[in-house]
Parts: sequence; C-alpha cells; structure tokens
Amino acid sequence: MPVCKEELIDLYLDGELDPGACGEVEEHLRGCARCRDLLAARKRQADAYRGLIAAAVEAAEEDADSVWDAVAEAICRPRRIRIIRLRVAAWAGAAAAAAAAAVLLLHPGAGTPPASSSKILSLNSPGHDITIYQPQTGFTVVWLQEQS
Amino acid sequence: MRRYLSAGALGLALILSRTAAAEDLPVMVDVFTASEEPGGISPELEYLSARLQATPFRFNSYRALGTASTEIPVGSEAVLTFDIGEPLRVAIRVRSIGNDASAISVGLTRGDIRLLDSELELGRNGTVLVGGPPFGSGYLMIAISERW
Repeated sequence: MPVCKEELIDLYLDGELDPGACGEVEEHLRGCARCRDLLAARKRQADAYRGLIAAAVEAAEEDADSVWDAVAEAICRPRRIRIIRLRVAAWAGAAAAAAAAAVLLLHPGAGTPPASSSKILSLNSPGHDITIYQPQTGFTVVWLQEQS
Repeated sequence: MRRYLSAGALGLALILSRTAAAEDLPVMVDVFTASEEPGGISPELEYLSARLQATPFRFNSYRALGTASTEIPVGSEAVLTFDIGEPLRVAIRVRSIGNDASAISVGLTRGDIRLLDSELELGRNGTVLVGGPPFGSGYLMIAISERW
C-alpha cells in the first residue's frame, strides 16, 4: 500500500482483507499520520453506531413495539452498520426519533440541564454519509462524512 | 383601587412584553475545528466540552474559528457568514417557536459547496452540532444553539 487508499482502510477496519493485504495496510499506517487519523475517525463512527444500536435495542426491550419498529426500519436495514446513506428525509427523522426515544427511555433523569430535545425532521447533504447521535437531552450531533 | 389597576396594568405589560420577546428566537452559532492535535479547548467552547466528551466524536483539541449571536423573528431568515479561509454561510429560518422547541430550517454553504439542508426542531436551550467536513488536520464543526 504505497499510497493512501481510503477504501483499503475501510476494508481493514471491517476485517475483510487477507493477511497479506492486512500487513501492507498496517505497514502503511505506521508511516502515514493521515491514514491513522482516518482509521481513528472511522473507528469512532463505528463505535457511535454500535452505541446507537445497543441503546435502541435495550430500549426496545422495555418498550418493544413502537421503538423497535422505528429502529428496525431505520437502522437495521444496512448490511454494514458503518455506512448509512440518508437519501430520504423521513429516514433521518425516524432515526433521530428512535435514537432520542432510546436515550430518553434509558436515561430518563440523566442530568438536569434546562434543555429539551431537538429533533431532526429532514436532512439533505449531497455527497455525505450522515450519522445522527443524541448522547443527551438537548444535544444532537449530525456527523457528515464524505462518501468515498 | 387605583393601586390594583396600576399593578394589573404593569402585570399585563410584562406579560405582553414577554409574549413579544417570544416571537424572536435567540440563536448562537459557534464555528470551530476539532482535531487530534494537542491544544485543549478554546474558552468560548467550554460550554460544549462535557457534551462533546460524552460522544464518540471526541477529539484532543477544539479551536474556535468564529461565533455569532442573533435573534431571529418567526418567519424570517438570518444569514451568518464566517471567514474560515473561505466563506462559511449559516442560514437559519425560524418557522415557529414553541414552548419546548422551535421549528427552524438550516442551510450550510462552504464556499460554493452546499453542505447541508435541514429541517429541525431546536430544543429549548438545546444544541445541534454539525460536524465532519475535513478542515486542516481535523474536522469542521458548527454548533447551533438556542442561546442561554
């Protein structure tokens, strides 16, 4: 891997490279700060999805019908959770609502900031994959990542 | 009797003034960069520090690029422009103001590139953070908050 190849970083993170290619990527990473940063960012994003799904699933166990229907529709459709492409505005709303519901169900008294929840009703960001994350009431993160 | 009428008039005036004030949405926009380079957090971003640390999108440093506050009447649009080496335009239109959240439209343009179009409900005292576009060695972040 003599030059930076973003798609190889993705495959490496997903464990989809054979041992030889894996070694080449690791060797490249040792000498390329840009790719190390990219790998770290992708790991953070993957962690975000895992946290989002885990929270939603846990909430679904408590309030099975309404939350899970939205989560299953919004989140579980992509085969690989690393990439979610928001092409339909309603999709973003469902994901945000499900995430907000999951967080509120799990942490009904989390902190006491004088803030109320924000809701993303629609999103359009050409050329970007979008992650919506709502770690606490009153704070919503919309993360844009350029599509490779 | 006159004393009671005066008190009543004063109370009514206060109520009316608060109602009139509620027709404007106070908004604060912070534009900053996040990176893995050492550097800490700019003082003006301290209010976001704890919130950011609770997300997977946490970084070693957060450096302020610009901040602006405005009050936007219902039905009006405010366009805030930040010079970040190229113009970053943040257009916010207020559609309605509610007790718990306000319906707004947000458009982000960086140079000639449209980054985002969104419809959202901004929670009372809430923050919506848009991040992810590469900026220098890190990422561009735009925090839109109901000012408090």
